[in-house]
Amino acid sequence: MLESGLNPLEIIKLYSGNTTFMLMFALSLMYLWVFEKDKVKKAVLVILSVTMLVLFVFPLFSHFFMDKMDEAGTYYRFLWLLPTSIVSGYAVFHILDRFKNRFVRTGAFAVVVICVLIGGVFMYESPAFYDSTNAYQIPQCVVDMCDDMIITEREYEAVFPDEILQYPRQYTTYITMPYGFEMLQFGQGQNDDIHSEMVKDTLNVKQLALLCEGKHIHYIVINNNKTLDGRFEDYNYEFVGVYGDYSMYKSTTMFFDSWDKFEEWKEKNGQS
Amino acid sequence: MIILSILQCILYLLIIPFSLGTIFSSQFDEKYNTVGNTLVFGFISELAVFQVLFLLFYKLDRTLTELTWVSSVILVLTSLFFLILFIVRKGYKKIKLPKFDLGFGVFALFTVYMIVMRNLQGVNDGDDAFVIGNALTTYTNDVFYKVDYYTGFTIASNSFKRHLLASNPLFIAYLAKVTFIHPAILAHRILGSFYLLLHNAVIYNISMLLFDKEKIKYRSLFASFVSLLTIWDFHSYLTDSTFILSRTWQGKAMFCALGIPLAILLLLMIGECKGKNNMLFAAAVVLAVSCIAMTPASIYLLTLFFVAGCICVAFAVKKVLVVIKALPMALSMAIIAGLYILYLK
Repeated sequence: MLESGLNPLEIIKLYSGNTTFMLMFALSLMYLWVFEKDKVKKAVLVILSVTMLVLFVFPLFSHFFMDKMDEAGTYYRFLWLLPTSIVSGYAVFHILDRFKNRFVRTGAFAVVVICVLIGGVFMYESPAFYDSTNAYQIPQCVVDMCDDMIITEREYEAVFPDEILQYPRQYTTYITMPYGFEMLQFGQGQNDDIHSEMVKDTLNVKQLALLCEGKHIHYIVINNNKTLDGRFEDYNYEFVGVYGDYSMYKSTTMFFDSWDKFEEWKEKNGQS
Repeated sequence: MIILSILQCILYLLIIPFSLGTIFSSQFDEKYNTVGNTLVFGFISELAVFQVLFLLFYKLDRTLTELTWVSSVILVLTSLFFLILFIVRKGYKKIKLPKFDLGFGVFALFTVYMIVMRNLQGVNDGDDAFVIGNALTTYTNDVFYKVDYYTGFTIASNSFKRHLLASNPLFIAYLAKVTFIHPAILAHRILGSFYLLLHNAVIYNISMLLFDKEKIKYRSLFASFVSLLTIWDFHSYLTDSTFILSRTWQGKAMFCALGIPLAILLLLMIGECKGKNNMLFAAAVVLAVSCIAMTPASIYLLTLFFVAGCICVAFAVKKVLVVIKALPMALSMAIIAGLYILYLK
């Protein structure tokens, strides 16, 4: 989602980054507008693209979608309707076909490819990608944590730091959470009090442990970069282990076994 | 179990789509009766059937198991019927395979590269908390939108309703149920790879429309060049290429990878036959319904694109009928938009 308040031209600028491909697309449109003889191809690739582009920047149109339909954050999706790669590719081969000499044509194509490699940005350099270490393509530390949390096939409630909030419930539904990814997506959710404690740089261990125990949370996962102002062990949570950049703590007072052993556990612990 | 999963994947991602697709591709111009077109149009038909059934089953408050049974029976029987028809009519003699030459080899390498990278790299993307989380929650609990996919508790807010019509996460849950594969593995690896294959098939079929007669030699090179542009198009996290290559299994990425290129393919084909082939307009309706399964935004994005495209083509071929024939597609989108408003209440 984009921040609201951007105008269409600013969105195009953000969308096209260093603008190499957008420039290539614009030049391709101009070239094909003049030189494309096939009316259907010109209509679909050129006229339609120009229409979409004009509509995108047309104030009434953008005002309708961004303000009236409340799509300001996703207005950039209209730019998906511009077939940039197809139009640019078609224009390149349209131009190359004009060169009758095969060597000149091959040389020109090589130059275009080099321009793409220099002007383009390699997709797999995106910071969003990481090396996948398991079949699920979920960070291994989350998989290990969840595996260790699930003692028997029943649900356990756990609190996670924001950075890995999205993963546990992609892996298993046996882990429930007092607040989920909606807290990051919408900025609000259930149990805001626990979340506000979890995002502090220095964690108030007593406050967090008491809140978690009150909400019957079995596990607390903490980012090791956070400073703790106490010990979870003093507040009914024991250290389980380190999982990558995270440490996991487990309640010492809650019931972890299968539900058919709950009555037995209750009697043993003297709970009514 | 693994063998059964593989067989089920072949059935639901290859045999059923291919069989359903024969009904479209056999009606296309002979030269576009290709394996790629058959598979792609068949897959969007499968998705469209699931989308319609999902809306019905959600409204009737039924379970995923029931939806799975009904969808499977309908899809298997329909595809079996079309497959028999295909064999009886000797459709296999008419269907075309791509021309295997050096250029096509390069294009195939690009496709394989994309698929390998899809499998080697995970993606840190928050929307998966909804897509995969929702698929897994539905798969485990067998109910639609009753359990909060983010937390695991009873769903408390109405925020899910804005995604309600886009059944892609439920489609993943459905496929997970029939293939016995965990939704995360299924989406990230199998569907991710499959959609990239379909995307490249559409690009190749577009190249067939753009380059004919003496320009045939450019087809594979064009398709390879488009792949190159896609792989080098990380100019921002907003580009269609970024969505296609990083979040391939998510509905928005599917819309970029399949929805828009297929609309372009259909428009080119409509233009070439001057709007005479009614099957192309029927395919547009199916595409519209399947795009709803990908993202509700397609209600306005695809409608605008396709109708504007038909107007452009109508001017190009001087046939007003092209615009009139595009109306069923726009109408189906209007009905879905109406349903959306109805469901939101």
